[in-house]
Amino acid sequence: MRDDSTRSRPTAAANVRTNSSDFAAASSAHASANAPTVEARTRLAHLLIAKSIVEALLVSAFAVAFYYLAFNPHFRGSVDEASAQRVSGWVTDESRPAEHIEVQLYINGKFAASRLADEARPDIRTAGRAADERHGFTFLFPTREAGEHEARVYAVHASGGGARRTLQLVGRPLRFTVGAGAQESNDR
Amino acid sequence: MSNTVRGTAQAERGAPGDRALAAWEIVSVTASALIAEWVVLALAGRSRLVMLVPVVSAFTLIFLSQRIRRERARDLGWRLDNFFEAVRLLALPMLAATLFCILLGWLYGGLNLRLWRGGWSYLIVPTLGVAWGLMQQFVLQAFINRRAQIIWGRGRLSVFVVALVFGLLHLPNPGLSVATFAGGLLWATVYQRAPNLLALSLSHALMTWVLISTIPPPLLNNLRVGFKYFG
Repeated sequence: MRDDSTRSRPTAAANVRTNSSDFAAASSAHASANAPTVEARTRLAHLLIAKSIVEALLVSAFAVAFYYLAFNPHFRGSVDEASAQRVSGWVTDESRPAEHIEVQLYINGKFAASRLADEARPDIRTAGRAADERHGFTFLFPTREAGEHEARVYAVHASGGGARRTLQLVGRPLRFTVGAGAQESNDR
Repeated sequence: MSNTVRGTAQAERGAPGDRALAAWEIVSVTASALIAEWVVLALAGRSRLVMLVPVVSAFTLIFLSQRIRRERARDLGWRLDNFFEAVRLLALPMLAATLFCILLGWLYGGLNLRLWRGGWSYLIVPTLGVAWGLMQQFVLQAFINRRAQIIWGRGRLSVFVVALVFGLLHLPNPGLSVATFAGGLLWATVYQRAPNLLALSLSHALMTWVLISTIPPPLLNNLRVGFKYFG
């Protein structure tokens, strides 16, 4: 009798194997025994829907907030003139009407010049676009290369404590032509 | 015999409706982690408290789901009776991975075992490492692994999915994604055989320490993941 029990006692290695499968079997047996009822599944589905809505709202809020902060929607302005002699216009930030905006000129997609829009433009103040009249800009002799060109002026907006600087097109791009004569006169 | 095995595996899986729900749960928690890594960390700036939204929503889902499914703490891996069994299963692969990392560190000159700053760091760093590992293993094994088993049953497929999710959460860091995928395979396999979260979290903390002590930091980009990887 005692011999039988000694023989049936598992070895250490076998015991480990049995334990390992026992742990898993007990765990999965419990899992299958505890399969959720239809009511429990419905509650879980409601929870998932609520969580999805909360997170969708969070991501949407982040997207809108980031766009609002990175790309100022309050810039207003126009490029009034583009010629071989000058590119001029005005720009304001309606949320901060006293602030003078930095503008950058791009000719044919390449950076050409940068300055502050702080020239006198009484018409801007008269039209109620800004608190003072100093919101105009002029870039003299934007390019000396003969041929047809496209001028784009961008307002610069800094955000993220200066970590980000984004450009926003002012008005519409304007095309102008520089004649060979103008190029020669500019060279002189 | 093979029919019996197939039958058992089938029995371990949930009903079709339950499988769909489990898949949704996996996707939902993975989405929370991705939102935290790719959206909140990148855009929240100083308002780090916003991070609580995806973290709290994910943990709320996890806890309530475990309650609704009536999962016991013991089934989840909060136990000690199988601790040494889990350690035994982990030991050899961890030793092999450690030797591999040391070899890589030796080849690329990344061996640096003096990352400790002395004083309290001897206590605080390992404690934080185990706590961080415990949190990750709890989500990965006690939730994702168990839901994957509802869908695919125990075995290679569910283990692969767990590892894939773990690797995916470490993108776009290629070195770390590969390392966590490999770690995910090991930890998910061990969890399915001997579910013990303490052993897995200790293993997680230890392997993280091995990784940062052997692999040159540029190869792992200082363990950065999500949008932060880019700078």
